[in-house]
Amino acid sequence: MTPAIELENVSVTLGRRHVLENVSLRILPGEIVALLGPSGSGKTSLLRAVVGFQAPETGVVRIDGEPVSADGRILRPPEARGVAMVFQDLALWPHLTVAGNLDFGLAARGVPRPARLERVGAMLSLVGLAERARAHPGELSGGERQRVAIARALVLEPKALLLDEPLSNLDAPLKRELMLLLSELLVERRVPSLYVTHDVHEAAALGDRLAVLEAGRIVQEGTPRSLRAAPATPFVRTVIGELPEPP
Amino acid sequence: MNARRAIFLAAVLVLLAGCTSRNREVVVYTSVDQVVSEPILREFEKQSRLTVRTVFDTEETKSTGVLNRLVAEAAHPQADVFWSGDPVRPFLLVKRGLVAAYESPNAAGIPPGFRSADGTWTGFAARVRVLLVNRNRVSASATPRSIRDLANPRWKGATAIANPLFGTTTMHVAALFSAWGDEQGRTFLQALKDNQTRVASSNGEVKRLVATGEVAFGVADTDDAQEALADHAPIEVVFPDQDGMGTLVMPTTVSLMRGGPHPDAGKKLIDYLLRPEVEQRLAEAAAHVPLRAGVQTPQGVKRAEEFKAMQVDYSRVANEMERLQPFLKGWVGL
Amino acid sequence: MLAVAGAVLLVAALLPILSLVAELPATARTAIAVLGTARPWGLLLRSMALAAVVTVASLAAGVPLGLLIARTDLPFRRLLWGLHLFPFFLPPLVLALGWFHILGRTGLVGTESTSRLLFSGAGAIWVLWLTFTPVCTSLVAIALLGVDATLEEAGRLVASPVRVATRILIPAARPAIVLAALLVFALTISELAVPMFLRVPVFPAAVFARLGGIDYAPGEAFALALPLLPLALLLLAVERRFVGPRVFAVAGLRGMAREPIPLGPWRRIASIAAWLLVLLATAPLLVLLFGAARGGGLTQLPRWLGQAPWNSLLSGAIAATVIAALGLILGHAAARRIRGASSLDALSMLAFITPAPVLGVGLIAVWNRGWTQAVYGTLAILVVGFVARYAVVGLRTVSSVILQSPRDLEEAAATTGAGAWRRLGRIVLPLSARGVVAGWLFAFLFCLRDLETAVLFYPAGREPLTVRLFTLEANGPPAVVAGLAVAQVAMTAAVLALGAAAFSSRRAWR
Repeated sequence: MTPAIELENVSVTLGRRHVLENVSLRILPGEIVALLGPSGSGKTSLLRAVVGFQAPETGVVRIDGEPVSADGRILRPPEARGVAMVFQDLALWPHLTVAGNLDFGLAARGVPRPARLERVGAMLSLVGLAERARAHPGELSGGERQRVAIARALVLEPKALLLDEPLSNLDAPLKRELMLLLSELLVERRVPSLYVTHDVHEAAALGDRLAVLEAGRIVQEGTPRSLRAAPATPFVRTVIGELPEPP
Repeated sequence: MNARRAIFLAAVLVLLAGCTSRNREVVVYTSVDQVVSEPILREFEKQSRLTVRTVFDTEETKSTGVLNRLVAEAAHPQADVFWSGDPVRPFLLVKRGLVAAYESPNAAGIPPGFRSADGTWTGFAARVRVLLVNRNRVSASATPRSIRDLANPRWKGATAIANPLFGTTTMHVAALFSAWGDEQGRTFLQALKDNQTRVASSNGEVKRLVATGEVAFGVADTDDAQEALADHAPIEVVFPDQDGMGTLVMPTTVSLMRGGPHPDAGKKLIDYLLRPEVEQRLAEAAAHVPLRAGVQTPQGVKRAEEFKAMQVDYSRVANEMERLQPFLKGWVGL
Repeated sequence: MLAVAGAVLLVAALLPILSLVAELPATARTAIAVLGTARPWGLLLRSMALAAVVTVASLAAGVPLGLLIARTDLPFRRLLWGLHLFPFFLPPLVLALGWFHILGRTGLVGTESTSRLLFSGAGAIWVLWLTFTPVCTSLVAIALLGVDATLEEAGRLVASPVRVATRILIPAARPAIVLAALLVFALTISELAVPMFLRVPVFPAAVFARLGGIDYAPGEAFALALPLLPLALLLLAVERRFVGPRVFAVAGLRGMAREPIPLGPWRRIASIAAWLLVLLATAPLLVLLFGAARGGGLTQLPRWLGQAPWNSLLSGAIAATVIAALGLILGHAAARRIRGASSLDALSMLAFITPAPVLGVGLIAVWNRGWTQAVYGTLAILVVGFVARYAVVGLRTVSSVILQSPRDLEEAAATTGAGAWRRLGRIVLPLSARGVVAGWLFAFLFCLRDLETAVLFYPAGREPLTVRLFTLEANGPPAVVAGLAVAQVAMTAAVLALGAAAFSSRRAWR
């Protein structure tokens, strides 16, 4: 199967820091891969390389098999990659309404208005925000804004979805609620996703596979079980140890 | 959205360009004081129904701003007419081939000494270089009668002349050199220095120095003299060298610019300016001396036929001005 | 998209400079002849000395005043700031005229000696110092308002306010101080009307008046302007090094509400000094009004105004719009470090610093051709000149606002498939609307006060009000000249008032 997202020997240097070194990762269609790593491990840089805001020094990034970044250059700009992203700070546009936020990307792609209205309406219902369609992000609660961010990404029916620590700013009950929502949406729709987090519980709950990023390298990949069985580094061992023992 | 904005901008610019109804207008560049020239041009506008677009000079004592612009625009002339406050500047343009010949029918009344034979410039309404004498410091019998009196040791430190690098004084000095020859000219200027003649920043300042009695007398223009008299300053106006070479006359001149956008309108403007009525207006408004005979002048403003004018070849004076620049700079002490 | 905006800027600003460079070989001999004498260099040194003195004096007054306004409890400091800043938006000639009506021979308190004092280098320094100090004050104040409050608070926990002010706050405003110094220096060197009015010989005036050298050639003006170009490049280098794209927050005046440093016993003295400075700059305007009214200048005004105010407003408004658009595109590119933006930013700064006569002569050389008559003979040439010279105002204002807004909003738009134009129009513009409007307003005000740029090539009969003031000043009736100056003041005040009103009613999305 052609991977939805593939990184092959990707290295990223910012200034003089090597943030990513020879990272290879594949996300197959329908798969959710959780990328685990402490702060400073290079998670954000990896996402930015996939989305196209950062050109990797070496290596190739492919979307649906097609190289989009290679030889240190960006071959396809972000707006042409068909990859959607939920940003860490959500990045909701404050001057547009909730519906407007969702509508923006569809309009940019030239989807005709009736279709747009339908898709936006459907997605808003799906995330439970149908009555808040005309509100501005500033008027919403934290949880509501999170849903808008997710809805905005999914309404585009992207080839792949990237999530940058989407739940890190939420308290526990909200987190649980939204994790439920995410697993419904992502798993049901089989959207190939790369879910970046530092929280192993989230990773284990949502990811089909985990990949652990440490100091710019992927030190281990696999299911939670395989990681527990043979942790490659002390960090992996510590992190996996936080998970409750499987029955 | 930005494309729309760009189109809107372009439209506005085009509109602006189209706005100028280029057929019914004439463009004149002038170094005559705006306060004097503008009303006359407005009169012309009313009478001719042409729109007059003017570029005025910015500093009457110093700059050759308008002249520079005419030269800078030579590749594609913008002006139809050049109305100069002195007779020398047109030569600089004639030399560069920027002036077209035009003999206005109204030029007939102007004495031949004050216009070119080939129609490249026509003089009218002139200023004259005169001596302003403070009556309180100078008795009637001792009144100076010649330019040379500026260097008379009797008046050591009591005479004034404006900076010879600027304005009408430059012309005056050049005319003197032209009349006397180089050696006599240099001697005279040296004599002025020896006589501690005050070098003022402008004719206006000379007028003030004489009016307050700081100096006994000085050289300035007739319009400065008229101003002083209007202010009731205790001065007498002397037309120097009436018994000798005559007094220097500096006509304002008008020239048709070659390649201007509206030549016919330009000719109309020139014809208008050369009318006797305009000379009269200029005499009344700015104490300019009319050059043609028979023009009515107000009190205190002489007419050309009433005094002896210095015989001057203005083109020679123009050349002298160029040539003398370095020497004068040295003389002024820069 | 950057290419489009860049092209506009290049055409407006770079072509004139290049055209003059191209002329040089043809007129090398004249150039050498002209520059071979001592006089041009003497004048240049004098100009630079004048500019240096004015700059130092402006900083000496402006930096402390900026600090007082931004971070202390000086009473009525907002009003003070506004009144202090206002005269800057007038052509300096107006202030010089006002002082003439005070200190001139026939002035309010004028005597022979005060007149001599005014009409000298000292007088020029005085007037220009009063006009340009607000630049220093305002840039410093804005920078200080943008300083992170926690930096200051941490300092005030351990040190006296004075120490905090001098060791922490002022150093934090260093880029602003350097920029202010550069601007004042550049503006003074370019200043034409005040030295000419006060009969102080300076280099740009000499370039303008051709130094009396009769044998004029198109390249000669450039030869005379040549020494100014390295100066401009030097200023640019200083700017790149110390200021550069690192601009400071134009966060609005919210920062003024932060806990101010109490002045205690110094409050009264500081107040008096500050208001005295304001008085020195605004009293002349009132004197002008009085002088105009007394001499009948106001009643005669309609006759003498002509089209000039309309020319000023129209050409200024159009230029400001172009500048705002350029500012949006280039300012955004500069803030987001898009490749090529830095050079264009440098070019716009160079065009601003390059003394006006150089730009003017170049503009004539480029635009006075057969097929460009639609531009050259109309107000459009003024627009081109203004855009070339003041593009930097729009660019810097917008980029400083955009620097404050997070990138991820634009990145999010990119991930939804929006291209560059759409992102600019639908995301960047609405969110930085205040900055764009501010850029428009500043550019407009700069165009309104402009004299040196327009005076060389204004279309015949379509002069802006400042030029009209300048040409009449030489020999117009003083009351009428004063009346025209009052008209300029009124026009500027009206625009400022409208701008302030529009600004305060905009909703900020942040």
